[in-house]
Amino acid sequence: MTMKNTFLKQFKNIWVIAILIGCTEPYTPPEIENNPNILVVDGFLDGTKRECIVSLARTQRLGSNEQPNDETGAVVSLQENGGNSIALIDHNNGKYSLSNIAVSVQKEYKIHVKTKDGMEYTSDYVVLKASPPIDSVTWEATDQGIQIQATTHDPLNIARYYQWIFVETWQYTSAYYSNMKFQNGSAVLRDDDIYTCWQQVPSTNIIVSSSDKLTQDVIYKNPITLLTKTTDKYLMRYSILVQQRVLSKEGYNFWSELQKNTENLGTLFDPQPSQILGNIYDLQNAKNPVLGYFSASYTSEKRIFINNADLPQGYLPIKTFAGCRQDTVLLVDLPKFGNSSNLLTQRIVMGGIILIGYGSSSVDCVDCRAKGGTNVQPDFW
Amino acid sequence: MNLLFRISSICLISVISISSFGQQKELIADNFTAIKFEQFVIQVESKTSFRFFYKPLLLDTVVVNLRVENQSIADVLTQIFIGTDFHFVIDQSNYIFITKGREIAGSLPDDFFGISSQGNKTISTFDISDYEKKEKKRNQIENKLYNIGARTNNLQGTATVAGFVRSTLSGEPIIGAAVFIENPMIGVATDAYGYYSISLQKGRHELKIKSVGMKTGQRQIMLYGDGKLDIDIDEDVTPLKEVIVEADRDVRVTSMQMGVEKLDIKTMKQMPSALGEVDVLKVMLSLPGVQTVGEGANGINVRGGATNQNLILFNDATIYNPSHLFGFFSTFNPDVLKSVELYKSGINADYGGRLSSVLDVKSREGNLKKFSGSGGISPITGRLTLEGPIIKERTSFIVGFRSTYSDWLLKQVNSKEFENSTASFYDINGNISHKINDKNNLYASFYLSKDRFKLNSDTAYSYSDRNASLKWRHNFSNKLFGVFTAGFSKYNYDILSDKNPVNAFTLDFAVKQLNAKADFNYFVSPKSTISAGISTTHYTLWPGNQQPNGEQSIVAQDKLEQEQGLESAIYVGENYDVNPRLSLYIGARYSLYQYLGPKKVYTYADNLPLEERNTIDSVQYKQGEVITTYYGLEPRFSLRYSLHKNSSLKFSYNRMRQYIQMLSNTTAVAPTDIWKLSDPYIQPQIGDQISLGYYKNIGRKQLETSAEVYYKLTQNALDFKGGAKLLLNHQIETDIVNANGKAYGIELMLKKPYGKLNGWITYTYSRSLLQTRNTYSSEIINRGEYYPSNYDKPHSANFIGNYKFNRRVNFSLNMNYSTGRPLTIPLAQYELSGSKRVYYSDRNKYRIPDYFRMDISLNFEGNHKIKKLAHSSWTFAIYNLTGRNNAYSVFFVSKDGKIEGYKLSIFAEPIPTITYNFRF
Repeated sequence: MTMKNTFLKQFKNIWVIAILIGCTEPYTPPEIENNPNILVVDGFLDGTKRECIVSLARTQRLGSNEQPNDETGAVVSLQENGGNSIALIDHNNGKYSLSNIAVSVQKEYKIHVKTKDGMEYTSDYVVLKASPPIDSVTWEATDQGIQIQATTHDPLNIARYYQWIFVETWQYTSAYYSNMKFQNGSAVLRDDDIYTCWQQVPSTNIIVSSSDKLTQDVIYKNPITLLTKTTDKYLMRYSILVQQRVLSKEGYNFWSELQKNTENLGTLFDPQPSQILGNIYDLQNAKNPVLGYFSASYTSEKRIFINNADLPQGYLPIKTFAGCRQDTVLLVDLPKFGNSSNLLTQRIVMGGIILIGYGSSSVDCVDCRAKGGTNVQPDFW
Repeated sequence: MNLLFRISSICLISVISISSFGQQKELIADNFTAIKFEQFVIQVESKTSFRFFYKPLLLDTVVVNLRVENQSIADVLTQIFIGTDFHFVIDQSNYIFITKGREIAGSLPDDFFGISSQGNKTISTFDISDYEKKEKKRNQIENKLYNIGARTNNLQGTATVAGFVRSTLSGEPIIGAAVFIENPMIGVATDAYGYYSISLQKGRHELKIKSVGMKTGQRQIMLYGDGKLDIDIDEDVTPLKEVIVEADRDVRVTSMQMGVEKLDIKTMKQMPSALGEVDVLKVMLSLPGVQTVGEGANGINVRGGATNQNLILFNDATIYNPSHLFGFFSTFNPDVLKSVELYKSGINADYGGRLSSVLDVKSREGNLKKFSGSGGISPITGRLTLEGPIIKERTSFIVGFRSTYSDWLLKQVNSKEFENSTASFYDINGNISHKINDKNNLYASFYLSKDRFKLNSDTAYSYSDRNASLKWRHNFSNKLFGVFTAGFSKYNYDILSDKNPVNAFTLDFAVKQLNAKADFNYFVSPKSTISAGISTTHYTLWPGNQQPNGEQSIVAQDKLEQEQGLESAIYVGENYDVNPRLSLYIGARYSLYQYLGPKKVYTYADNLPLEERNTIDSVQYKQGEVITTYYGLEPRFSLRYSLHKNSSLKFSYNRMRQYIQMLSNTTAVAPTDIWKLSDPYIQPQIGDQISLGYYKNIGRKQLETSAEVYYKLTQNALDFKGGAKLLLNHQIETDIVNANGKAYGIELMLKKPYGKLNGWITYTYSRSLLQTRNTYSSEIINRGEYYPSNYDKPHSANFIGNYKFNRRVNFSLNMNYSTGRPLTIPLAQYELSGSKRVYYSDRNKYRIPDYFRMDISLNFEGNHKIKKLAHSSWTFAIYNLTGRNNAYSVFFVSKDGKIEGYKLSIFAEPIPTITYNFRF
């Protein structure tokens, strides 16, 4: 009986899986050509900060894990329609910027790029868009995790197209507290805290939304990011700074198309991917593709904190430090400790009086900075 | 075996049509002492009125030794023949027939009904099977001489005999049956109503009737003048090799039509199917020149045409979406179907409105004689079809219902993934046919299909396609008949989202058409048939309406304005046999299309690309006002030239115009695709195709070979700007790019239609290319060069093989190979907005991996007893036997800053199915 049921169940499962979800497996097309080395321009003029930042890079071979191929040594300038052209400062890392620019709302701006190989590129003129403030950044605990949302509205009903970027910061600790360090053959008191760190990560997804089809220019709880249940981001305290920008309709189309093409494909009814070219052109040959976009907008920011005490029951993730183990370094062995890559943690004292040695563990388990964060508390914390 | 014996032995015995009739009042009183039977006969004949008929040779050993006291002749004979193999029959004229081994039938000839003809009670050992009785009746009908027209001595000139060819069993008309005489060979085929009309020299003829799956019939006629002859022929219940009708054997070589694929439901039922059900569209895909973009993608691409360029007709009513459940099923219930014809080229002037092909699906007519039903159960669906007479011999109905229990299946799977998923569909189709009198027939047909699904999301989709048609066929004379049709089709879908109460919405779309047409057929002479007609179709489109769902929703209503169009056409065409070697079809269709108000039409700045930002004004047209008119002539021409008895050359040219198109930028037909009427910016598509074919039958027609080449040009084909938004777009013209299409190919086919082993192999090389012809960069794809269309699959090969172990067990193997469809692939990566992005190649520059699939199926028929409660069959099939992971699509996802390529396969494992079918 059980046998039969299992078989039947198996049979049904095969059916449903075959029909409804098919099978998805990793696949790399063999025909991937050599890197076409196309210029990528990411430019933004922030009216609120009166700052313009342009990043230049080149495309990379697909699947490459190298650092972005930054384009240095270019001459980048910002131009106001009917006004002067001002050069941006080259930071020699592909970033070009300029601060304290005298900008005015509803004026048109464009950027001009001359790369070191002598090629010239320019963007369309874009209007510096006004931005209403973010009304609120909120969060909700759902089955999938913590959903961060943004709500805004424009009483003038003109903003309509919004983009959000964010920076997440969270506090975390290493597995073992350390107040000792090994120095010149002996253990000395540590003067820095490597137990508590803060990690800061900028957004990596495109978040755009439009109230175009609504009667009022209202964006209600637009999803910003989802903190999955397995993340360690809200182990102690979590913060997110959401920046809101306003896009032109074309800018909105560009970003939403880019998002559709690179973040959202793969179900049965998705549109075909296509070359998404922005508002930047090759001045020598308009047929040569240039990637990226230049937009201009005032910005509005809002920061919220989530303390783990605020989370609903059952939401506290179990603190696990898989693979961490503490060893004891006896006093006699201490001189040899210099050969070890491990770090000392705390004194081991017997009966409250006799020091017999020190705890030690691997760097990953002791120094929270090993995970990429900083032990310097951010100002806003 | 027993049955076989009976069939063959019936031919050996000369059957005399006499009834046994117990009239013998005369009693016998005599003494027969050891006399020969011959002597006994003389004695009896001398004293009574009985007369004996027998073969003296057979009875010369019989000795009669009997003393009789006032016994009936039957009793006497019974005593004489007791323990022997002799039988006798006594008729009403007191004639006595004696046979050895077998009894003689006791029924009267067909035309003697009315006279009492009860079986002889005294002889109770009669053992005539139904089959023999029927066979005899058939022979009687076939040997009877029918007088057509008023008797006259003047047998000068020709006369026309016409009528319906029907199945004896169900009264259903037989389509495409050949009605002909030999010497000289003059023949016609029955039309879609089973009607034929043949003109012959007056005088005596033997008319033969042949059709696939039916017994060959014949009628003796004496043709005095024009007249009517309805012919009933028997179904071929035991498809013996010898009985398989040869009429169709020559069809590929001798028929006028080229580029046509006709499949009857029997052939389709033999093929292995994925989900345990016969699927018309899937079967079509095994034929040369017919392709699809992928598994589970509905819609077919015929000779490099888009999915919306096929005119799909169900009993003459247009079908907009022929698919269920994302295309895993076609909406045609196999039990209701009679035949499916696909015209790829040489399309007659009767058809118009779509560029690529005509898929003509015909349902059966209900059984006119008795109530019956059929159905099936497979792992996904259940279906039931009922049919029968409403008024016997005059009115019949057939209705088929099919539904899925996939919802139930989903619930059985304890997976979180499917918690929020539902998927279900049903369809009902059928028709009613009514014979008013010999000259008038009425046919009403209806069709309804509905789908609803929600796949692990907060968005529910549902769509429905329905149509109905009413046809009146009137025979003006033996040579002229007309069919008047009125029809209605409607396709609509809605999408409902309710996860977020503030943004909850419903969105719906619908297209409706009302059409009327009159078609006339005139049989001028055996050499010439003229068809002509007029038609008009009114379209109404509701291109999209988004509304808030629920009180909290702040979604604004966004309703696209309704669209209207009127498409009218007039056509005439003639089939003409110049001589036995050369036949021609010449036809033309003139179509006129009007885009009608009320409608607001935007105008755009001259010399600027058609983009929303270049809108300058809009014009409001009033109700009924003509906004744009398009018209044009669509010439059609076909030619067949017989090179030899077994080979022929065919050529055809046709031009088609299409005024309504589907807008879809997904690769397959999706339930959210919208239809769009031609308007001032979207011009009608025009397609021209020339096609040349060579057909040859080899070795006593055992093998059919054919080669067809075609070249096709399409004007105003549609493609879309990258990432175009097609739904709820008020200015859809700004997202469309105009393209010219070019398609060409060669199709080779080798077919063995008969025998224990039958099937076909095909190979097709074809290309389908597009080229944008706009001036502005945003409207140009791949720099204005030719690029492959989404369904360009150059190499394609199919193998279908059936092997009949015996009449009850049948094995099928199906293999399918094709080049992967084109794909736009990522060429490089770059970082933008904090994440890696992908730079895509030119459109459709690369391809997904090649496709290969092998399926097998095994059919078990129940026993072949004709009389039993229900006939059933079992089908065991394995779809994708090798379990190859054929790519349905290849896509790339940027996840946590990393780009990953994925391949999506559907049916990536061998899928077993068991289907039970029944018929009662």
